[in-house]
Amino acid sequence: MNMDRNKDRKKIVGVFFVIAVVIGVFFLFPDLLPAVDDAKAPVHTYLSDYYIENSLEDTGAHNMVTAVLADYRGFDTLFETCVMFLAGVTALMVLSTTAKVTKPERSRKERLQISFGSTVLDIAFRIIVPVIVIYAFYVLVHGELSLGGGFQAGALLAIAYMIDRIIPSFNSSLGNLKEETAAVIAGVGVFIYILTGLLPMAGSGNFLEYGKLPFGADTAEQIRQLHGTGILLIEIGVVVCVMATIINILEVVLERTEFDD
Amino acid sequence: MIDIIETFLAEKGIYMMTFILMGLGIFGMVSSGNYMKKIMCMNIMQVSIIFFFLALGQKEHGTLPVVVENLLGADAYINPLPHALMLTAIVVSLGTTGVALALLMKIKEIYGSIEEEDITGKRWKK
Amino acid sequence: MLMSPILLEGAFLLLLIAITIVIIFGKDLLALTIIYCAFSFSAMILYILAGAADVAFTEAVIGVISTVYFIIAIKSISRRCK
Repeated sequence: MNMDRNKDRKKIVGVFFVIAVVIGVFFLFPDLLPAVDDAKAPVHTYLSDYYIENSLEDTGAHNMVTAVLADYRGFDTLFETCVMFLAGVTALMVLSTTAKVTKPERSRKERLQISFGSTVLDIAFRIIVPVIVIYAFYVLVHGELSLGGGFQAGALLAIAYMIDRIIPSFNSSLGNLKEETAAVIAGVGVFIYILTGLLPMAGSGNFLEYGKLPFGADTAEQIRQLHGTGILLIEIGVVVCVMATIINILEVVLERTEFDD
Repeated sequence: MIDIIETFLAEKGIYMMTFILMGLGIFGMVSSGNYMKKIMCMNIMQVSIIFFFLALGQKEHGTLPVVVENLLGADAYINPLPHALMLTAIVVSLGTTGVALALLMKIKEIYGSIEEEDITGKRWKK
Repeated sequence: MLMSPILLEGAFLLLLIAITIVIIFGKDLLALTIIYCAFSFSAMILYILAGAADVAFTEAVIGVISTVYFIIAIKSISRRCK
């Protein structure tokens, strides 16, 4: 008991010390950072004007954030997808020697009695899951026109799988993915991304240069549509990888915890 | 009165509170004995850094960076470059949390508890 | 809006700092997980006030996934913390 009070007292002293140091530094050096809503700050003057003014003509995407993320800075997004894939594989490797919790075999009658304790949950999730899947595809395809993109769609699909996996009901669920299968699917997602990057090299272009995809394009309008096709193919790769990694980590952690039922 | 508060916040206040949040997050990571709390404080620190980048990209009377009908001037849209970088940062933070939780469960299996005092045998000085 | 975005950002940042102080001093891990979900929600509103709608959408979805991971992990760990 004394130990806890001493530790709490030390934590209060530490919190005040941190706040005092930050306030002190900000009042000693008053001019280090520009004001928040200044339009002439150096953040806005180097490259962002080019991105804002030319993103509609170059790529045909109305959403400037998707144009920057998937077209102008597509190389960064490739390595971010690789990092997600590696995170899934690492979680699988760390817990590979821990034993899985075996669940007892139950007859259909016993499973009918357990369900989650309430009828409302059992019925409501069957209505919600298809709506989420349709919304996820809508968000993926409309990534260039309005807000959306690949990361949001992949996470929404993973949430739909997660709802179906966690609520136990008397039917078997949509089908459980094993953890090794989920890691392989994440690798397929990264492979789709790299394939979209290698295709322009067949049309004598650089890596990830969508204007030279070998689908046949002559006029400027068709080159803009090629950019749109390239962005859509990349987003499909990102969706598959992100969804598979989230499902992978979920299965790895869920198989090794005990539940009361 | 409200103008004075607004100017103070715009010049220094928001940055000060963001750095207080980051400092508290790091202090929570260092000083808590439980490994689960360390993971939560790591996420808090990441949220503060992401907000710092987004606050740098604001403009006065700027709208969302989406072209609706015609392209207005370059001063009317807010900066889309920090948004693209921070999308990547949020997804990578989710991957880091997943790996940290896998390591946490392995520590629990080997040592039997997740308090730092039980594992290393050292205590905070009295 | 009666108040400009900068005043509202200041208010929400104060809320975030208060939630952080509660998390540093808390003792029950399941209650801290629910408070972490509230932290993620307030961060999402803060991102909307700063004008970033894509980032707010992503934070909303990923906050839910993070909270579910924490709750599943707490099931195999004791709920008290010293």
